[in-house]
Amino acid sequence: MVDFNKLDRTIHEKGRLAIMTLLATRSRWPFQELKSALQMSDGNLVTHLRTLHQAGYVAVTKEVLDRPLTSYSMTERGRSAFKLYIETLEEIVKLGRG
Amino acid sequence: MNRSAAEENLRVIRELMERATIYRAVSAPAALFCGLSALLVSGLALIPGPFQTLLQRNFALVWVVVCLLSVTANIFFLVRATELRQERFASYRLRTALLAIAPAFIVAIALTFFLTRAAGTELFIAVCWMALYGLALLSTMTFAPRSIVVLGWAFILTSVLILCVMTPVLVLAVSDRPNLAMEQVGYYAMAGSFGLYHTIYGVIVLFSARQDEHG
Repeated sequence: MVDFNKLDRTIHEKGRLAIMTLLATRSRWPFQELKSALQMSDGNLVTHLRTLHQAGYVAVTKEVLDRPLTSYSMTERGRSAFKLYIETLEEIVKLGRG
Repeated sequence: MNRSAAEENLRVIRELMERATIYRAVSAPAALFCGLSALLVSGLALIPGPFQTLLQRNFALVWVVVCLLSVTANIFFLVRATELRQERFASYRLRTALLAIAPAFIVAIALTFFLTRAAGTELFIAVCWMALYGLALLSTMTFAPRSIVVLGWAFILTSVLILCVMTPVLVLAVSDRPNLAMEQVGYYAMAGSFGLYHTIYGVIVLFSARQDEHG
């Protein structure tokens, strides 16, 4: 029996799931690249990133090179939560197949 | 959550991950370097001057040097890009790309050794390089951006076009001075393909990257 409480509601939202997926592929994503890859508005992306940051899943790095650059990366906690989320989805699929 | 919803979420995750692992094996600044070098070398070989005879007599050697310089530039720009992204240069994506392009490059090296033994093969060498380079680029198409795929097809189609249409015409046109003329024609082919295509690719990719940064 799948414990549906294991499905992390913070990650489960469509926009945040997409963000977590991209963050899982690289060590670091600049804001503009995330925005371009996800085709999200600035406001929407910032809101989702803030939620993930508050949950401790995403770390923010702000630096000034030739211009200000904000980058995001997945924390260890975020990686564990994302892994657990995928494992739960896989369990649901397996159970559905009988 | 039911099974189909879970499957749909897993599909979205898989597709996003695939899209995020797109790998550009030819960096835009290196392509620009290669294109401009090819145009410069071709110009020096085709316009009467102090280097013309030297360049025309060493067609394959000249282009091997241009190729090595371009590969060095490509490695430099790829290393710089991975450093900016704080990633490892020797990544899984790089290894996959190298394994994909290796067969075409091995055949190109073998054909170059074989064809340079005969005189008057410059155009055919250029066509082989175009075709094999195009194949190398297309062999990365499952994880390459669209611009690389377009560049690959441009090389393939140009080589086929030259083989089918141009070669008989050129052979007839230069039958009285086969060796010298074929060297010149070889340089025209290299300038029009490696020179022009790489320059266009480099400018477009750099321009669109700037647009993304500011957009």
